[in-house]
Amino acid sequence: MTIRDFEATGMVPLSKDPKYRKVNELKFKTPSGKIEVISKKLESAGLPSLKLYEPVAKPADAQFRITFGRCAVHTQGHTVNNAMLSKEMPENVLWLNTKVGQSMGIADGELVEITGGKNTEESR
Amino acid sequence: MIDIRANISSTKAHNFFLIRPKTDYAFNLAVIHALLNQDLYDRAFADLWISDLKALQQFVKPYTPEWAEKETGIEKERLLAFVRELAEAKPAVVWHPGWMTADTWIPSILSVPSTSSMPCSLRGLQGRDAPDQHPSDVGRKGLKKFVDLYPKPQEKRADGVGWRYPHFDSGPGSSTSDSKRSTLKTPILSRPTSPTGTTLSWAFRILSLSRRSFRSWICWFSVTFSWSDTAWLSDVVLPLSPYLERESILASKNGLKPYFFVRHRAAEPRFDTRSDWEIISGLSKRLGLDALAFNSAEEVWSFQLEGTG
Repeated sequence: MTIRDFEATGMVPLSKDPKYRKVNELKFKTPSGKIEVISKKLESAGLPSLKLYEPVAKPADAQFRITFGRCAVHTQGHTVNNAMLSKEMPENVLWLNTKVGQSMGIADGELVEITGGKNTEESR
Repeated sequence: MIDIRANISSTKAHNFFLIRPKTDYAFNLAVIHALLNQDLYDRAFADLWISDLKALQQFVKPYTPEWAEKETGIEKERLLAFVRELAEAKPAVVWHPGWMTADTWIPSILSVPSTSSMPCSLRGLQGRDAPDQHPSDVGRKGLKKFVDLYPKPQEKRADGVGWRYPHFDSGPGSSTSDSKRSTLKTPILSRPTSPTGTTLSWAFRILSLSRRSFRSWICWFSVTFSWSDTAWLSDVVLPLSPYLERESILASKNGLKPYFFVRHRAAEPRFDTRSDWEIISGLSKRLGLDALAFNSAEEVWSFQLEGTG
């Protein structure tokens, strides 16, 4: 095969027909070659393969779950130096439920301090 | 769709489960419980391909849909109806574990994604008709690999993969574990993170932590087309041409019909930027690593195609 083979479409198929596997022809990249419920690798590292569920506590007063999402303006770190997009969205601001914010006396756009675990950050 | 908030995707979904934050694992365990308990799984497939199924059966016993309702806030009837739908839809089920479900603590890393794939395994879907055929699966040789040009380093890796964390996959490695490097008295070595795909600093939650972690490195290079946080914190930035302006190395696409493909540049590069292969070859030339010092994209492609028949 040479690069000339790519000229027509940019791609070179490696088989004429699609290949479907039969159920007995599967393969898994595990020591046993099967889907492992119990992993020797984990167990020997002192970690349980099946981890007991730990109940999730409800947040106390003035405690919140923090989550994040995508925005339609920026694409990860790729666009932070784009002046036009930066003007649209110069800062990743913190959102808080309106009613909760009002009850805490926090105005829109105000600088707040959030603390989680050992870390403290300032955010708008 | 399973999420902690209503969003546009959730308004389009046939089923939307608004679960309590961090309770995905409870939801998954109850789904597995129902599949096994109501005999809705593919027994023939399980016998062939799942080891220790009895251990799983035993483990999920307490995790009933009733129990999960208290954790997740999803009524058991809804969960059971969903499980029945899963069973009826066989084999057309894809269960995406979601992004960022493997976060924060090691035990959780193992829980959410692995339990997400289990319902598919139990339905006998795992690996079957899946688009993961490699060139060797259709009797062909794959592209020649650059990584085989030099022996694999034997030193302990800075991210702890293979020794501190014997169970981590050595492929992706663990960028966040690299930050612990400064406390190690072992030889320092990490795989490079992908120059174009990863904004490493984003692997750390908090910018001040990133800064601290970056300072612990002797020297940090960024090969990048964007002025990201990682580039900002780097000692040296080697500007990469954006993808429409650079010749790319050949790539292999696995699938039911695997293929190789090439991506040519659509425009000449602007400013002082280079393709990734030019940057790597340029560095190799100066470091005396001649096997990696290619002079043109054509040379790179010829190397990759050697032996492919």
